[in-house]
Amino acid sequence: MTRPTRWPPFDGEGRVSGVQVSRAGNQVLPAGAARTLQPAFSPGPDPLAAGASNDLSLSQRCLMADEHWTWQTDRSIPSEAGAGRSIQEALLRQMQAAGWSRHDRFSVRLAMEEAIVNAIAHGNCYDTAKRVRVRCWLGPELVRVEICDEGAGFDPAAVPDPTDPERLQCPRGRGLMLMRHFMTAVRYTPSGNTVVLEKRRADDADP
Amino acid sequence: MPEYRHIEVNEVGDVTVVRFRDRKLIEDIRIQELGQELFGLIDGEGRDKLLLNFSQVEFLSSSALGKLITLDKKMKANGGSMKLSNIRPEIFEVFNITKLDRMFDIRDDEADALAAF
Repeated sequence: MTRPTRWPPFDGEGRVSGVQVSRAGNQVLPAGAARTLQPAFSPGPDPLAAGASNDLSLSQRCLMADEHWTWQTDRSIPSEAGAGRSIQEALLRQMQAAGWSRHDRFSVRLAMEEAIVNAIAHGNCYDTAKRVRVRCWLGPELVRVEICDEGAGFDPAAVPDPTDPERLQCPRGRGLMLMRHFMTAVRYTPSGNTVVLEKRRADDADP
Repeated sequence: MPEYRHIEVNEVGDVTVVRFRDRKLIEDIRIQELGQELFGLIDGEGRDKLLLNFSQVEFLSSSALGKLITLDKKMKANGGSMKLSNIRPEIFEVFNITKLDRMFDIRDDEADALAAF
C-alpha cells in the first residue's frame, strides 16, 4: 500500500527517523530508543484524505502536513474499560519529556479518555471480540491521536448539546463537547467510527 | 463510621467534608465505587450538607461529572445541599465549558464553602 505523503514516516517498529528534539532544540532521545510497535494493523490510508468532516482551514491542514514527528505508536486494545490507560500514559510521558505544558497534557489526556471510552462503550459496545486501534504521533508543536473502533459509527452532528438547559442534568453526553473544546481539531471520518484528535502546543502556557 | 476506599470524610460543624483519595477520577470501576461511597453518605448516613474538596484531584473525565450530577440530584431530592471547592483551573474549565459551574455551587476554597452553608 502506498502511504499518503501526509502520513508520517514510519519504519514499522515505532521509530521515527532522526532524533527526538525538544521544543528548545535539545536532543531528548536518540532515534531507535523509541518503543516497539505492536504490529496489529498495517499502516492504513489517512482518514483525513477521505473527505472527513473538517474543522480546519486548508492552510492549517498543510501546516500540519509538514509536522516532523518525533515519536509515534500504534496499538490495538481490547474493548474493556481502562484498556487505553497505558497508551495515554505513554503519550503523556513523551509530552512531559518534551516540555509540553500541564494544560496541554491535561487536554490530550481528557480528549483521549473520552474518545477511547466512546470507542469501547458506544462503538464496540464492550464486545470483547472487537478491538480499538489507537495511533499517536508527537511532534515538536503538534500531537495527533487517531482512534478507530469496529462499530457502526455515528453522526457527530446529531449529538445534542449537553449545555441545553433541558439536558444540563443528564449525566452523560459531554465527551464530544470536551474533546472539541480542549483539542485544536476533532475530525471524524464519514463512516463515523474513526476520530482524529489534534492538539497544537500552546504558545505561552506554563510548563 | 464506614471505611472508605476512595474518599476521606470529616465533620466540620454540621457539614460533611469529603476529600478524594484518587488523584484521577477516570472512567472505570473506581468511579462506580466512588459513586457508591458518595451516595452512601446521603442514603445510608443521612448527611444533608456535603462539601466536596477537590484539592487532590488532578484529572476527571465526563464519567465523573455524571456521577457528581447524580449525587447533586440525590442531595437536592433529600432536601440537602452540596458545594464544591479547591478545584484546579483545568478542572474548573471542564465545569465551565459544560456549564456545570452554573449547576454546582463552586467555591474557591474550603473556608469559603463552609461559610456559605
